[in-house]
Amino acid sequence: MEFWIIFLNVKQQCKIHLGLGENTFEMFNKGYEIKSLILGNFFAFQVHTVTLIPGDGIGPEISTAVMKIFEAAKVPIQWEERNVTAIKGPGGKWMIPPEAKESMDRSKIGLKGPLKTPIAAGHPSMNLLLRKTFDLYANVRPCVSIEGYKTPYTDVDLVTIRENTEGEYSGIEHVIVDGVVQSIKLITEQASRRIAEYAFEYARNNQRSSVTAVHKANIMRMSDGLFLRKCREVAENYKDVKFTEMYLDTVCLNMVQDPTQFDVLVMPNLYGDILSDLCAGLIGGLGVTPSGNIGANGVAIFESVHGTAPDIAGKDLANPTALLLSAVMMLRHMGLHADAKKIETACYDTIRDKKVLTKDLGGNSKCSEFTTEICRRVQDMD
Amino acid sequence: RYGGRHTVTLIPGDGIGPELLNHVRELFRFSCVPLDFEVVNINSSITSEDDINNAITAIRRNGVALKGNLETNHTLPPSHKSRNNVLRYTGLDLYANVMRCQSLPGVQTRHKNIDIIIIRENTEGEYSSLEHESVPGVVESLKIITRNNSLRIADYAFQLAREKGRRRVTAVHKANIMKLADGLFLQCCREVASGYPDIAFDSMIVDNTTMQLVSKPHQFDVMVMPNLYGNVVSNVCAGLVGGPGLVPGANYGHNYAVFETATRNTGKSIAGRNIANPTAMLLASCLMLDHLKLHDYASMIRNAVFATMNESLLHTPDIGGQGTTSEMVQSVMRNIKSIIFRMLFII
Repeated sequence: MEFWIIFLNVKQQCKIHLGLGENTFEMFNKGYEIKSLILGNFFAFQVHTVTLIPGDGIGPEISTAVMKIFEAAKVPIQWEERNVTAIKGPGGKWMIPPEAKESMDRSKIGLKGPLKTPIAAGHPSMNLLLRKTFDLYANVRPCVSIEGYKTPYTDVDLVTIRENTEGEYSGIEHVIVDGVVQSIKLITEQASRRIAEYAFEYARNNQRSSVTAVHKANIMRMSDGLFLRKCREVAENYKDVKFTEMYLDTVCLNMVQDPTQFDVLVMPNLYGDILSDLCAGLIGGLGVTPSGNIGANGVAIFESVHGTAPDIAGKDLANPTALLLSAVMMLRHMGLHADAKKIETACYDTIRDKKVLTKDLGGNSKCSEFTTEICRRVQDMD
Repeated sequence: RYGGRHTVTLIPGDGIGPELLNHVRELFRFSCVPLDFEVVNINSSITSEDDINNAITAIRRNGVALKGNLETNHTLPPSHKSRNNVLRYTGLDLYANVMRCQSLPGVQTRHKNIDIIIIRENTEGEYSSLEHESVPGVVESLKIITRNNSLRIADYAFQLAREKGRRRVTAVHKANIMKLADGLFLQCCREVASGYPDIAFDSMIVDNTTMQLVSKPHQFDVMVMPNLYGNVVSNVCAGLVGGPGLVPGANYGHNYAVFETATRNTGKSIAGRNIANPTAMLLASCLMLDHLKLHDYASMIRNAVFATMNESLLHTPDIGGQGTTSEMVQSVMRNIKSIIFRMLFII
């Protein structure tokens, strides 16, 4: 792969990142006047724009924490803050504000804090709106045990990939007669194939050895049967990744006994919801779990999946780990592996050290203190 | 009950079912339990309905059955429904699946002292087997929730909680997404709860439930839920107390009862190798004895099984040991002998 080196007329120090897949070279330009230009891939020097959606409750404070840490690590990212509170568009349909949509369509990458779920506000949840607007079809949650945050389960290292658009959450329900309700679970060939393809691509790109399809085709023959068939078909094209299938109940049973036997799991909506939360529980809960949503047209929104925690909002007590790890996931998605590794290591080291921890991790430091500690470690690494 | 002896239908099933049920029969003979087994074989590879119908008739006749799990061949067309399911809801109306997850002595697990009762609606919900392909490439599966069945299962849950002296019932649901279906289930639970003021009632969303179960399982007491969530939660809890080889399950209807292992696995990969854990099936047979009001025999066998569990050298591979099924069963029989001797000496 060819690479560009752009030498600029600069008088001050500047760091130039060159991305070559996993390898990153860092060069310091100490104020030389260099005028030549060499052909290559210019990719890494540009500053990326990311749409930031701080969210509600503790959202703004943890977003600020992440921005501070990124600044300390000198990550080439420019944040564009947007609000996604639903507004009624022309024609009466609820939609996200056009500035937010325009920003996302342009930057293609988003980082989102927790959003309040409105009750009786008349409009659907913002998460649902975002999902529909950008066709976020895959929810990816890597669950890795955090050294230093002890849970009964050690050595967890798996990824759950959940189909996010259809399945049991289609929202199609009817009252057939008084006292009999029917809820429809929709499985389509297209969505199943798309999620299976994403799962295998992810496995290949992240050096994961196997993909397991989770289903209940013994009971839901046609629907889960279709899902399974599509997974099998896609598996044919990815012979380098091992493919297995397992019943949902067997997965649950084995997951709580020995989570190390699982690698990448792909499944329809409901099972994904349950299993991804189960796996989050294994590593310590939603406060430390990253999550990413991949959409059509190259859009990806990374988010923290915990709630808005209104009781501690504004008190500098929040734990920014979930949002930070989601941001790290985002960096990897963008190819900025060195920055991702640096920030992730700083975060894990801070937690492992146990000297500066927020309340939910067992310490009694403030959010800002935790953030400062991570910033310090990041700067020390340079 | 005829001539002082009960007759119970025995369905060996597939995988480890036949060998485990043979051990149960051996044990009952040894312990002189006044029970006869009527064996009904169901061959899961044949697609005809006759053997299933024979089994249903036999269960209707005897009222009680003990069964191993039947394998579902899902490469066959969808009209060939899961045999286990058919037994459960067609004609037998076994509407409540009850599973008590109790930490057993001598078994190493990450969480200790768990004692959760899970009551799962057994007949409807996602297991209604109503599916159709409306357009090629688009499949719809119907999940049915009815007021009657929801009220019935909630009532069963609260009755059982009261009977066993339990303090709290938690309903597990996903009513924030499936507003009508799970909403109806939740509403029915609340209605029934108001009739049992001595028992606390709360509810929890299913994804949060699984997360709480793996981090803080001791907060749960009795749990009631629709079919699919019941499947997930019961498997999670079985895993928490040590695995599928340890937990017995029971399916109750108004007139009939069928007992089996709680997690309904066929155990194909370990069949015939004498390494299956007989505990779940033995404890299931004790539940059956309790149901038939043969409480003395039930406690005797149960205590013998617990005593055997304490000897870790006899543990089967699924719980980390190297013992065999027959060694375990022999040990249970030895323990029964010593229990009987102790009883005789007391007399």
